[in-house]
Amino acid sequence: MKCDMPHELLSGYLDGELSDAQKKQVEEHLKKCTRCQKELEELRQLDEYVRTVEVEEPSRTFVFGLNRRVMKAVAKRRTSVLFRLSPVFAPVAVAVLVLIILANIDRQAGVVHLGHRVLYAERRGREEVTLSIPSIAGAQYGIEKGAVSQKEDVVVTPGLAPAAQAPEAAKKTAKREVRDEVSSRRAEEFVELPQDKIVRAIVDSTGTVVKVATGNTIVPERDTVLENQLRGRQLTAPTVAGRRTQLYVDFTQKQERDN
Amino acid sequence: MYNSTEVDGVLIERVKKGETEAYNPLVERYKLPLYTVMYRMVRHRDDAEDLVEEAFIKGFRAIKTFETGRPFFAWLCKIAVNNAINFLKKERRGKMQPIEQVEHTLTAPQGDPVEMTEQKILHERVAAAMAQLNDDDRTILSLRIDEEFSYDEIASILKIPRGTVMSRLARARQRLKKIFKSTEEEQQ
Repeated sequence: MKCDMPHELLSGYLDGELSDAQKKQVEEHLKKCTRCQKELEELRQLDEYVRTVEVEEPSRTFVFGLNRRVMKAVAKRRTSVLFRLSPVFAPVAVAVLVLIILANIDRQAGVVHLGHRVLYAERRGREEVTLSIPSIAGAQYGIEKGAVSQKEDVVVTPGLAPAAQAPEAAKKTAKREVRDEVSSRRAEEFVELPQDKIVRAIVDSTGTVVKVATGNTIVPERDTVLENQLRGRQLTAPTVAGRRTQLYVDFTQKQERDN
Repeated sequence: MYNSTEVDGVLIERVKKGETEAYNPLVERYKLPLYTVMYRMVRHRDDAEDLVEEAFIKGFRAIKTFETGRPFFAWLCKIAVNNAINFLKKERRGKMQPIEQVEHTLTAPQGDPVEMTEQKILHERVAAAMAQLNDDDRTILSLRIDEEFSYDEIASILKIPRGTVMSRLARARQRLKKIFKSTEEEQQ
């Protein structure tokens, strides 16, 4: 008897993958076809044989080292994703940086938006600040001026002894002597500022010299000698934007500029 | 009862969230089953081991595409089998296996025949017959018989219709039977 049962159906039946109708069809056929019964048995036997085919044992390196190698590779992969994206990130980062710099340079520009973010919410234009600082000339000539004024005030009458003067004149002389004394003291205190050193002084808001330091280093040292000579001298009051304020005045530089 | 799919799903979700270490138990769990599939396909230990390693790394890279709830091993096999198919194609282009070597494998199994038990001889014959099959037949038989994947799963792994799985399996079984019988005649 010729058998028309397709191999596919027998194979599918063996695997339990047929539809109910196909399964019924095969089962009906198997009841009367010994050839297909034999064929099915051979296929089942062959499957058993295939399952018994030995697989060569994997190496120790594989069994004990695979996890480590895979995990190392995937961990590396995670890191390298960032590197792979760096060609995208790097130019974007540079562009953002340039944008920030440009936003800072162009003061007239308005608020800079980057997406929904505001990089600079508020910026002000530069303010004009008028500055008035005491000059080195003030430090020197102020003393000289004092001496001159005393010269003007003093009326010296040569040849007259103080005792020979009228009481009023004697009084004037006494006054004159005192003034002469003051004048000579102030003349001695005429300050010669060193040319080879930077001279800096703290001048308070009234224009009075408070402290003096000299030296060519970034932080000049306090110069007590010069300070004793200059301290208390009244200079023009320093102002910033019209307001009187204490300032740190560099006399030497001013002098150099004047020169 | 241990539900491997559920546990796999939990691990994969953790991997998806960036917890790389959660991939380690999956490698441990499936490295040997995957090695068996790969070995059946390429019949070379070192190549099979390399392919398993590659498959796990590729699997990790593609983990976002894994649909939670589906069997992980079938998904992994899909990656591994396709990778191995490409490997075999390259191998075949690179170096043709000499016919003498095939015949040698078929007729002269290694070891002393006298000491071999009947069972061992049978295993050698089946192995030799399997070696005679083409890559496609050997792969589909291995997926069905060794790993017991359903037709639907095999269809997904090999990217072919379910009906083609059925016909290819039937054809592969017929070829194997024919080769196996021919080796039986040679032995006699």
